[in-house]
Amino acid sequence: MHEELELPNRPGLSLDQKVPRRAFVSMALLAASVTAVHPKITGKTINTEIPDLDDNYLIPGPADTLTVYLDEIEKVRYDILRQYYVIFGFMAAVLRRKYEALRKDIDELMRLAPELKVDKNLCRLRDVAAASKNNITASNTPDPRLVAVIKTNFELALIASNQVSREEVKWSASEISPEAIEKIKDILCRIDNLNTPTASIQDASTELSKSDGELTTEIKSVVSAVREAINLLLRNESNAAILKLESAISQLNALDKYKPSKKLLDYIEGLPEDIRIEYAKKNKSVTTPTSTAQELLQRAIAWIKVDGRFPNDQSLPKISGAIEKGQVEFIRISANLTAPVGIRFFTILASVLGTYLPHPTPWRIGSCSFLLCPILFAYSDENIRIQKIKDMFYSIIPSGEFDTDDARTTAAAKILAKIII
Amino acid sequence: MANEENGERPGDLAVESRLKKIFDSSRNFLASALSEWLPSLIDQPTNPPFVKKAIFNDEIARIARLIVMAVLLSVIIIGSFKLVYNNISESAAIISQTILDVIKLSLCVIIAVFLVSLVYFPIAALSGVKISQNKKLSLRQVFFTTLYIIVPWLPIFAFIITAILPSKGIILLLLLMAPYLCLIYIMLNFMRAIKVITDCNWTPVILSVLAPFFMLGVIFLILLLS
Repeated sequence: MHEELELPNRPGLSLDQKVPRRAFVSMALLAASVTAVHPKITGKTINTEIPDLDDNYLIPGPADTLTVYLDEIEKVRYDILRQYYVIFGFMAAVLRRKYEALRKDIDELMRLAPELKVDKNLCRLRDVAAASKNNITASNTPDPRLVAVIKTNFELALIASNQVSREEVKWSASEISPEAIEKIKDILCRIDNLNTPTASIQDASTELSKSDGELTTEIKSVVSAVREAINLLLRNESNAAILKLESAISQLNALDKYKPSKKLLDYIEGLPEDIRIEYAKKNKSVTTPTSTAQELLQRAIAWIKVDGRFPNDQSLPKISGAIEKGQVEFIRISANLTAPVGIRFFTILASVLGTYLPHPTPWRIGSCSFLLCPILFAYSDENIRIQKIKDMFYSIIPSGEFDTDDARTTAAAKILAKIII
Repeated sequence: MANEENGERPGDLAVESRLKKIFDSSRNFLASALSEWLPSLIDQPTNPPFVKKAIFNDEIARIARLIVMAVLLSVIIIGSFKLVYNNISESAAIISQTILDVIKLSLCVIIAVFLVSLVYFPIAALSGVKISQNKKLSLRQVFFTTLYIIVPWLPIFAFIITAILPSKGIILLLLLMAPYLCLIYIMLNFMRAIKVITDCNWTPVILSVLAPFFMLGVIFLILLLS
């Protein structure tokens, strides 16, 4: 070691040879440190238990699990309206194909009669047809401008029906070929045929949007009830939480009987029978689209009633599996930590932020750890730590939706206050 | 009798005498604190003891005075805050507990400083921090340098720790960031102290101090992003 330290004095060793050696030692130290602590580099997954912390934060409780269930409740809206979206998707695809053909015909017409390229109405008709082709989706009807263009495009209509002499319009009659005239007639005929389905799908789409809006309001009410239940659980008010969940279940139950407006149902009835039969076969309507969400909430209530205890065998069934009486489905969040002991601090921090104060972005974890360290170093009393950590959450950058929620910040602070540095 | 003739009562004289004693003792203490502690904080690295090739052979008395003063000031700061924010009837217990806390903290700091010196000692050698061509930095030099630089900051950290307790909002945010600012100043002063002792180039000195922090920062970022 001493000989290495005397390296710069060795005769015959140039400055260029000395510096790389020093740099090499520094890099080796850095690489060794990083390799030693980083699990992805070492390829090891170390499951460690944390004896100095309450295990409750590792194993999800009813409140954590209900947070996950919110996603399931959000899906109910789509499940109820799915059959209508599917039919609209099909009808929209048919219309798109027709508009694409119309656009190609207009291109062909412009090729046959190049002088028509200067006609603003025709160019506009082509642009709108192209735009409609791209815009028609199950929830987005053709461009409303198309209907207006079709109805007001008298100039083309009059020429095609020979009610107006070609001399009266701005292009010269001699320049319009008979093929072009035939094409114009064909285009106008197809525009007439498109008018009715375009207007129908537009009206029906408006009704579908209304239904979607109604259901969104209803689902928001259910989600709000579940969120209140989560906050009550975090404050250990189990009975009140159960009442909220029962209210959410009854609201979901009412959604099973939901029917869209008569206009929308009439549109479906008015579709060709073969289309209705085909899509009825493909998409068997769900009679109780909220059943899964209701079942999850009911089992959550059962779980809360046993004080959030896990079954003894720890082998909980999966969502689609058989469920024994008294047990509840849940999604395992982080039963095992895949991190070496040295980095538990960040794992705990990410877990706590993810559970109580989403979202655990690197910036939020970084700023939280930056502000948390002085508190953990300065105070050993748990109550003081909890109070100061709660105050600290207001200063996390960027701020989160729940950073000012008293119940959540208290629950998060209680866990973080137990970290021993 | 002469005082009574002048219209002054004996009770007034006793109060005046007591006030004078309080004033004198407070002034003496403050002067002592200012002469012992403040220069070592604001003039880091102070001269003496930081001179070229300083070996710190007779520094026990000076460093002991500095440690005692820093501990005493920390006791006053922490104790006064606790007296203000706690029940007055518990004052005696709080003071005795505070003294124990601060002495414990100071001893911990001394031991921690020694451990930091043990860590820095090989890094300095690897980074090429040397007093002369053939003479490397000794552990005694590293230890005393670290001690002289860190100990004067104890009352500052004591103030931050105690002031965090009643603070909220932006004041709390500033106080939580203050330790990091102090650490930056400590690092800068430490580098200047090492430069004074060794009189070598800045590059190895900066490298020796920043390399561990750089490594820690890289590890921190990797852990954060993983």
